[in-house]
Amino acid sequence: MRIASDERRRPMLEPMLPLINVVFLLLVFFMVAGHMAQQPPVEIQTPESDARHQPLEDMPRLTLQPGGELLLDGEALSRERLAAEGGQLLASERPRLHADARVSSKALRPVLQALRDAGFDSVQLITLRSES
Amino acid sequence: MHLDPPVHRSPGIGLTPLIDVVFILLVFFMLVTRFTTLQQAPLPIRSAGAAGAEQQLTRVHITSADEVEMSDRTLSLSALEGWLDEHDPRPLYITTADPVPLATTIDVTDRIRAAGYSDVKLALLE
Repeated sequence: MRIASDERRRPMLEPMLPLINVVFLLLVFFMVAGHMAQQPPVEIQTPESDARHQPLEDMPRLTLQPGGELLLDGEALSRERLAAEGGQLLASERPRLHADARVSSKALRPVLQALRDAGFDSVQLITLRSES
Repeated sequence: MHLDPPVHRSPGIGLTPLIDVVFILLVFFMLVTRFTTLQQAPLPIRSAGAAGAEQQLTRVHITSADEVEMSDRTLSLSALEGWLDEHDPRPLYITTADPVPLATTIDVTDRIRAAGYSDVKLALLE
């Protein structure tokens, strides 16, 4: 009697190797080419800019929605409170404002005035670097 | 009875768990990776109360997405770039009409800075 070898029962790994290779390459590509970033608390259409500025490291705390609603860490913030307590709330020499590209000047101006009243003479606007 | 001698195979490390983990890592990175770059553009603010001092400066008033006013003249954005190239860089300030969106303000500011004008402020005047 001849007992068959269990070679035929081994999983067929060889046909999977190209797939595994591609998956490894994709993994390395995403790890190297991209970067992880926090998402803003609300959906914001970031304005594009051709100019080159300092890359953003942390998500800004101030958000201005298209309708003019101001948020601090995702919660509503009145302009009066920003003007009165902005220095303590932001604790930054140059506050960063993530304002929607569609927000009108009429809505933006009171927020900037409140920052100005809080003692800030400059603001860091968050923009999306356009690759063109 | 004759039996083949048993084949002694060294216990190998199974690749299946590794492949599973790699797949999960791949999905994770595909979901959280972003290829766009956010940046922070500094923009000095001038309050409305500083209007008196700004009378000495050049004013660029943005009226719409493709037009600005300078010294009571209406210019297209390309004409504005021509004007900026013809003159030496000087301090200037930007004002905007109420309906002008932030994207337009940033676009005009970029064009002015690209022409070599580094001292640009956004005035809180209509």
